[in-house]
Amino acid sequence: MYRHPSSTRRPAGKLTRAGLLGLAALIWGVTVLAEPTDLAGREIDLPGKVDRVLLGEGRFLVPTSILEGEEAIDRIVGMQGEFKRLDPAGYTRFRAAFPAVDEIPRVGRLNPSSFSVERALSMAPDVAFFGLEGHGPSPGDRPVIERLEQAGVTVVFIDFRHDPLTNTVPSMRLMGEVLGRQEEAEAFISAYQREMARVDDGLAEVETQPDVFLESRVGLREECCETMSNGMLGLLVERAGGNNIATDLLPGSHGLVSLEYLLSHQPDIYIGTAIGSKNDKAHNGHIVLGAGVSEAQARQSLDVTLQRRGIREFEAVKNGRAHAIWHHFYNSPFNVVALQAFAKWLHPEAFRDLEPAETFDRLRARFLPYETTGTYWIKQR
Amino acid sequence: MSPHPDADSTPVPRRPSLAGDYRRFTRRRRLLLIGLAVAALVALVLDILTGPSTFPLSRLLLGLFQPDQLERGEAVILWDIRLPYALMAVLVGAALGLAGAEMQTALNNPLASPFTLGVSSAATFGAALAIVLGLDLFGLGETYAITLLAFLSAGGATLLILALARLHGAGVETVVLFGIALLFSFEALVWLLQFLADSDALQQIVFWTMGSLARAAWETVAILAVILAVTMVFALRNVWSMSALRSGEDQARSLGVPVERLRLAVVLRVSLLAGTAISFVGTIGFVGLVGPHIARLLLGEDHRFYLPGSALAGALMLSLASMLSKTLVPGVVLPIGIVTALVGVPLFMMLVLGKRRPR
Repeated sequence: MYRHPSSTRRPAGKLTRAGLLGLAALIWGVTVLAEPTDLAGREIDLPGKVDRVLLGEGRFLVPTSILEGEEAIDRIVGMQGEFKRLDPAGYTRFRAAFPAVDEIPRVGRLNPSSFSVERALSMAPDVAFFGLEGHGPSPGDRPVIERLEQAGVTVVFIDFRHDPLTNTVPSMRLMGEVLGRQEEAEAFISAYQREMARVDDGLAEVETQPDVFLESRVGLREECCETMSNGMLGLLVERAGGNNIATDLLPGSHGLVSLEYLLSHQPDIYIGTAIGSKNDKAHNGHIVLGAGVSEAQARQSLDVTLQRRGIREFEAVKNGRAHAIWHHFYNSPFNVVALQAFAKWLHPEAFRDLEPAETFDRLRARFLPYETTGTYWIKQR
Repeated sequence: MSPHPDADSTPVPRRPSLAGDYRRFTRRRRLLLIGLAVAALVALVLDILTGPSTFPLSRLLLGLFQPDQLERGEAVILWDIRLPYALMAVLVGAALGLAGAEMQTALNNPLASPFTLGVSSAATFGAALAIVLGLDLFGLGETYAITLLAFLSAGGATLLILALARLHGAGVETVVLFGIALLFSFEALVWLLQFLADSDALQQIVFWTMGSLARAAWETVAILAVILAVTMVFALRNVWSMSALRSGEDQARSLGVPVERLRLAVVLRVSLLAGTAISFVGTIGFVGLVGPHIARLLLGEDHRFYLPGSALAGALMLSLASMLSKTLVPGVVLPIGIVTALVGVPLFMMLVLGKRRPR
């Protein structure tokens, strides 16, 4: 994902030499000049001091707290307001550890269009972390970025969503660099890469590639079947050694697959993503997962959704190969845990010794300064 | 349209028989209407036959008459997916076509459609309200709450127009202006709700607004069929007054047509048809506007033919659109609203250009 500007400046022809020179320049640029590039390929001028930080998405509090530990919100002067609304259970847990999070001024609500530049500027941030896509300003929101930069705010793009498994490491490294938490960042990165390697090791002995259907945000819309294809959790399916059957149908990151198609091209494995939380009254047709959710609650909600018209006819459902995953892994540095859960579902034999739950416990205990116990994935009864 | 008397082969050439002309006029239109019905039926069969899975005609016929003979998966595809979707397409198309035809006559405006008086935005508001409040009526589930509120809201908007029209007289202008005022008010209210809604609800509102036949189920198909049948009977009872109204409001009045009462009855029928259709499948525009024009181009203004013709043209359009939405990108669901316009426009242009050709 790195696109260094110097690589576009190199002259045409003499490809190999120029390419090598460009590569050398790039490495030199990144390492020696300490002029990092962000995930949107922009060169970053690191400010002398970073005392005031603005978050373009409230859920960036999770990677921030991985790096800052007990000082998770000390430098946060403003943030987008979506965390509390999209992941209320997660937010409640965060607030339990950091009650002052409620007092952090919100610079917007749920959508990029609700982001108020004026309010953001009034917080006088030194740095603003924005995502490549999602619920806050993105690289396409030029006026927002230009105004912030004119006011001397360093805008840094990170990404846990567009291409989660590729971009988590560079995003954490970049955040570590900007916040002066390189050590913490490297510690997380090496743990993350170790967990990633365990998946790759397991896949080395795998020969089959089961067909997987990932139903996104189960219960959100009445008609079936929203899915993620070339983006977000859709990419995790492929990385876990599966064939995401939506990938060839939908070129974008998500879309609707017809129920009849699924019935006539049966997936081996069904995975639904859960947007329900403990306080979801009567489940509303959602699958309930996340902080504070018990296994029984989760399983019951999954069983109900598997009884929907058409879905109950899936071979995967009849064969007990239906699962659900917490939806917010799609935008979290802990996405490697979801990858392990997928890998184990797709290849139970190859990953019989892998315990994603232990991985999650271990990572959270070591890196997360607050407690988020609950049920984050569930297998059909 | 009517043939020149000279071309006639009546034995008494000097007295072209008016009755004979009239008979030819009606026979020709009756044939066209039957042709339209056959086309709609063929489109329905084709719609049932298409899908991302291969379903040979023989299996389909077998499944229709002996469902037990099918494999379980096939039975689900035929009875839970293809049939309700295809029938819903026909019914919604017919309902919107009929509603549009009546609306265009009653308001004497070729641009009128079932949505002109804010029926659609009122329904959307009702649905959005149910979504934002997370209503769960009597434990029936959110789906029913959304449908019910959408329908009630559309009905309420219509009653409001009727009440205002009662105070001010139901002139075309009064009704249209009230309708437009309501349209914008409800749109603003929906935007307000969208602003207040959390992201899930917001997404849900947007999804709901983009119509989809995939919401069709047997109960909703049956309800819409009954409502369509009943309103069609009432509409056909008024065909003569409606035809008279088409030749001008004053003319109709002089013929003894109670124009205002007629207009209010139409508004009521239209909102019942459109409100029900929208509450079941979301907003599907265009059919209600263009269906009547297709019927008018083919069949003329005589409402005995024009009204059923509009319903059939609407049904034909939506059936073709439904079929196409399944075949354009196999396996993926394209929003029916997009495809409807893609199907309807060429059909419509063909007729318009055909009419213009010098004869």
